[in-house]
Amino acid sequence: MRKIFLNSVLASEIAAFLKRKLHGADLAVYGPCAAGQPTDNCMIYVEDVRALPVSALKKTADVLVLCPRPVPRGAPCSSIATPTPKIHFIDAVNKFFTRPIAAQIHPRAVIEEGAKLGRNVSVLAGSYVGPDVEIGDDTTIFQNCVVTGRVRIGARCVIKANSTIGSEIFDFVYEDGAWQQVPQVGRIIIGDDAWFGANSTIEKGALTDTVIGPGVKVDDLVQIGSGSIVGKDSIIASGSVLCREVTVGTRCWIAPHVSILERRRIHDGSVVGLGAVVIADVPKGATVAGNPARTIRRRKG
Amino acid sequence: MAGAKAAVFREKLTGYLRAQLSRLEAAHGRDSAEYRALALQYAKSPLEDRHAGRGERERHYESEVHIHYDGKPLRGVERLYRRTILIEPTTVCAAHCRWCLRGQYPLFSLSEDDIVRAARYCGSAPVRDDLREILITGGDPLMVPQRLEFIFTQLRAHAPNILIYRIGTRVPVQDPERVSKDLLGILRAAAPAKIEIGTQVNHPSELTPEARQAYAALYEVAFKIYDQTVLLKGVNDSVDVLSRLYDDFRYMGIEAHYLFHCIPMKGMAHHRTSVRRGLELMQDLTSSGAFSGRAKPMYTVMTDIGKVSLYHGVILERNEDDEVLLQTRYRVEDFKRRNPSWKAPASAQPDKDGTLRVWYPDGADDGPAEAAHEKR
Ligand code: SF4
Repeated sequence: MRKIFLNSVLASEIAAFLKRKLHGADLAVYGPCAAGQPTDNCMIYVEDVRALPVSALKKTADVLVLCPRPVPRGAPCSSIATPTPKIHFIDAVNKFFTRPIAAQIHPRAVIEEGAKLGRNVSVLAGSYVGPDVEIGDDTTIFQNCVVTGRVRIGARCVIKANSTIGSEIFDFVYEDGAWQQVPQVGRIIIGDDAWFGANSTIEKGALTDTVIGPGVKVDDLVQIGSGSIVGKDSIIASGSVLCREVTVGTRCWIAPHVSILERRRIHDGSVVGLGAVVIADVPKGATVAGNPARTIRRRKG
Repeated sequence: MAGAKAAVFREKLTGYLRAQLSRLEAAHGRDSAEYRALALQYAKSPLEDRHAGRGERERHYESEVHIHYDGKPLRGVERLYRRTILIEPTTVCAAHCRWCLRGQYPLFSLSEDDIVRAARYCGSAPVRDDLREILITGGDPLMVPQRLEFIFTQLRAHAPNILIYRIGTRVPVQDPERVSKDLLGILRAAAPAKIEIGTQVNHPSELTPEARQAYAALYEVAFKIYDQTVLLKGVNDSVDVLSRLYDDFRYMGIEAHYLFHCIPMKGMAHHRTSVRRGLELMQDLTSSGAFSGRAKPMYTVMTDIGKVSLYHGVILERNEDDEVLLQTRYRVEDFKRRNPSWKAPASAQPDKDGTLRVWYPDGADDGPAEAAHEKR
């Protein structure tokens, strides 16, 4: 986790760091700004030179713009031309204007005996980490989270506030006039660099494990049902629900408010559109949408 | 940077200073001493564009002696005294003080490589036997905390002989928000070396609650904060203002070090009082029982050969060019020992006993401090 850092650097230093050329006069940069709201001595990026906020720039002094082409001479700013303005912008912000937040286990976090925490793990106020939990290096668990059961979280993961990883699962069979809970012996395994938004829940597996691959990014308010598997680098946007034992392949994109019926398979590289209700498997690379979800685009080639 | 050519000295203020100006204007009006005390320090005046007067320099005296290390000159580094070396990591300041030549320096900042070499030099034999202190100026070093942190780590690694890191800054009165937890953490991490802060406040109205808080926070990591006020016409050339200012320093624990006579630079005549005016003010301050003797600064001018503190008797004579001849205790032989090729500047003349007298361009008390149309 990083936080903003009040610093100043010369545009020429940023150019040297990015190994690009500075066009226009050198200037002092104090920090990043949104392109539409530049302030004096800031750095912005635009993906297209035509998107340059010229009138706003005329009212500000010393703005550095990262953009695909050098800003023409006489423009009210200096520029660094780069084919990847956003990436270079992020690199420069991380290098010069943010710093890592020092890891901390908050005195009001509860870490049960037996839990194994790697180096630089942060567990913030009000969070609970159960005895059978293992957490990798540099992972941060924000406030009021519950991590319990047999859970292994990789390195550099982020769990935002109020999320539950583990705990009891919602899986019952009706027997003898009452609902019986199924056995709950599965684990939760989360790969490195995974990211979970606020108020998200991941259920442990009943008999198999719930597995979240490395690099998976999960937005706020997402529920991942028991025994589900999410492949490397997939994205699950806000408000989506994966019922029990769903499989999502690698590099999939699940848009906000998607529901996926239990045991369905979303194959690699597919896209599930906004609000879709998935009741059938989604083929590799396809785009599906609607209720019930239908394929609207197949993989090319 | 020594030898660097002057760039256009444009107006530069922080959001904080702009807010202070509006606040002072709303509270006291545009003609008030409070408002003008700040406006005169930062607003570009047409009077700056007047031609250089007699004796006024385009650029202020600075030693041009370059230090060489490993066969290459060290950038941004100067040996000040036997025990002290100076390093300028940046030429960026939060705001441009109108009378200061430093704000005119072209943008520049030391690379990590420059810093590593400077630190190695400081810790190398035989330099390390003498060197105990590093003066970090600029520009304003608190504008570049990341660089400052790098300087500290390099000094710790290569020059443990340096016991005091002295930092010159005006950030607390220009952009106090920058005295952040991160910055304080970086300063604290200089230990076991000690941090000393040199600052410059010219009027009590600069000591807002925010600025006071920033100084108090700096005092948690610095073993000393001292001030070098510049005597500025219309800002602080009155006993009342100066005694309030030095009183405030006293209670903030800030040591009153120098009261500088404003340097004779081109475009600054309207900021300069006469040398005599400063002496009168000093006498009113120091010999009137007005406030604590613990809070008295040294009234000092910056001459071509170095600083000269003024007492009655130091001014020997005045010529028709409005220059005053000052008796100093600088000695030719000391300069020559430090730098065998040293030659006395034209303004300096040795006495029979080898001490130097130096001509210093005086200011005038009768001229305006701002252009007529600036007063509204
Ligand atoms: S902050 Fe200091 S160095 Fe910068 S212009 Fe003002 S007095 Fe000069």
